[in-house]
Amino acid sequence: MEKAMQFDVIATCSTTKARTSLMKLPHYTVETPIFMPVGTKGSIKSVLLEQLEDINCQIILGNTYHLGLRPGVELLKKAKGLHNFMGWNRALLTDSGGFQMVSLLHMAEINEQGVNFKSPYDGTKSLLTPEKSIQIQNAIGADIIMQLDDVVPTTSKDDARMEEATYRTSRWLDRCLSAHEYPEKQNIFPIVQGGLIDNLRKLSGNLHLQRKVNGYAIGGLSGGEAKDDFWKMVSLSSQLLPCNKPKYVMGVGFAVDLVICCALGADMFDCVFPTRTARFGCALTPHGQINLKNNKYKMDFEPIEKNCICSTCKTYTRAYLHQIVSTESVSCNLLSVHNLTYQMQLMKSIRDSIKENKFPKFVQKFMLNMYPNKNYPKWCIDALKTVSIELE
Amino acid sequence: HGLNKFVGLENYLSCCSTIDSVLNTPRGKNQKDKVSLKTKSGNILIDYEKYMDIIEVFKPNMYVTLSISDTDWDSSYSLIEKSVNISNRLFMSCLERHHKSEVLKGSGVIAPIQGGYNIQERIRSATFLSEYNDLLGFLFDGFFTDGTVVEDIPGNLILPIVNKTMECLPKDKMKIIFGAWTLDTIIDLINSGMDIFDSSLPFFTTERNSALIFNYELKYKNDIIIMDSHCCTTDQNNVDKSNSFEICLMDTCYFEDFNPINESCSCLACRKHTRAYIHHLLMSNELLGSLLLTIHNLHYFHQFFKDIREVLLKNNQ
Repeated sequence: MEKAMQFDVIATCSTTKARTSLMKLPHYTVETPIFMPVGTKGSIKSVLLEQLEDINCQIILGNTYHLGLRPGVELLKKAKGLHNFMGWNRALLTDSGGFQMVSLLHMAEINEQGVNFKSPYDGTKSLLTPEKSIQIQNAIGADIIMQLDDVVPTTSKDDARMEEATYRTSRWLDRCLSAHEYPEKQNIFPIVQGGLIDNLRKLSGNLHLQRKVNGYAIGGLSGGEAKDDFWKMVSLSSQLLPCNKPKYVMGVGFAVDLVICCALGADMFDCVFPTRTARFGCALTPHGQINLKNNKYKMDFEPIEKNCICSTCKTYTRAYLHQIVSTESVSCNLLSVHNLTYQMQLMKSIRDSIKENKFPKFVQKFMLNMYPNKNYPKWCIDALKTVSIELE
Repeated sequence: HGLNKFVGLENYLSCCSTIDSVLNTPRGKNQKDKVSLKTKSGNILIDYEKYMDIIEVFKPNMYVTLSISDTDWDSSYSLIEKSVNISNRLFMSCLERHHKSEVLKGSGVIAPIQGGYNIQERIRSATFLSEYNDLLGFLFDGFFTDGTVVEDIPGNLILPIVNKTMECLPKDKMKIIFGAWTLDTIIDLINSGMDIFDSSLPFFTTERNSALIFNYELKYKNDIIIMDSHCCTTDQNNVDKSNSFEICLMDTCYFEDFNPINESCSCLACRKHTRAYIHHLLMSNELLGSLLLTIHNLHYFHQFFKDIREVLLKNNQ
């Protein structure tokens, strides 16, 4: 039987838990650590596939909830999957749809069967079960698919509910695994839950470890919890999980978070942030984010970032982007291309520095660029200390 | 370093004019030799000195001199007469300034012919402007103030005027017209001697979520181009009868149509994507939908002109 994944760790940092690996998936071999741009409805908003390939995007996300409603499972089957439908021949990952229901739909109701929700298109009530989620994800055909999990907002104080959700997530994992039709072509990742409670995280991880899977996701974070809680949960979950399988921290996309999660041993990340902030006129740089709407860029004839290799920085000045931002839709494209290039280059620098065993140096230099006055956030100092990196 | 570099189009030619031919720019209150222009931050009054200051900074490859062009088919005779008079005066002022300018040595001047739909005034304007030998070409201006309705202007309303005006102009100069004239009218205008058009038509096609898709055959007979076109969609019920040149990809009939927009089109959208995918993007309000349509429509429009040039070249050897 064909294997849906081969995961080879190429180099491990001798100081931190960071590693760089090759993750061979049916459609593409992905280099990790990797950032995955989000293409909610079957397109990375305003960006052409050719541009994504040019900036070395290797795997992108699709959204089961949105794609299941539109264009729908039947059409995706006829199109022979999302790869074919959108014309993307590299790797794809789909989420389970559970997170959207809880975050988008206040009316969603969760019970043992699944998630009850109202369609935002026509108001009809539907039930998303673990089986149904996998059925849709089988039709979409992504290389990596997510189990349906019972999502409770991280900031919830209801510990009993959190415990229920942790156990239920594992029960739903089993239902997802038995509903899965194409284990030789698609990898189901379980999602480690447990909110911000150490024991529940451990319990969730240990329950998942008993199942036969090729990789794991760390979920329920990046939902507005304190950064101090965030890194501790990533660290704890990451240590629970085996080293020979990829670990995917869901919803992470800020540069500082990416670097620190890599140091804690994570391999995969996704977030709408780089493309969403682009649509609001913001560009990412090694010194943080700049808002091109700001009048100070009106006469600034420098590119967004001098050393950036993207087509936007090679062609356009900040002054030009200032003029078109928020009035011409092409600015979404130009800034998204820049921001995604920034993310891809950041991840490449991380991978390269691990290969050269210079990752701790890289982290120190990166942090100094972000915080030239060395006013490092305390959570960064604490998190990096656990993996033996000191920020001076 | 000028407009071309600023907008990232250094290896292209640029032509500056004062109106955006896809917008509705209703008459503003012009004051003596000052022209009212609609901008994003409201109406502004501009005189020729200010205009030429801007042109000197832009350094376009060619530009239209400042003029009063806010006439359409409803305009009164006195309004048309006034637009010709003022435009002529502004033309002389701009040209004088142009000759004094060092930085505009490499830029060509385009003279705007006014006169609305009045043949006599058109002739008066063209005759006056054709006296000047140091021009790059002429713009047929003043046919509309609302760019969004140009497609509805019948070709036979402007063609007699264009033809009469052409007679007054030197043959060896460029003739330009802006606006979203229909493909049939474009062919007629080319037969009348028009050289340059803008991309208003593919712009509007994209705006209504449609793709240019028509099979055409270009023939050359009695010194003119004749276009035989027929719509090539399979679903006749869903074609807007008044416009057989395009299909609307929002239409549900494309929901599971896995063909490219046009089988024989070599644009990026047609090489990589299907009607069903673009339909999905448009239905989902994804920007990529209109991006792909823009790519297709511009490509198609370019190809249309390329084919026209080929026919003309072949028959004029």
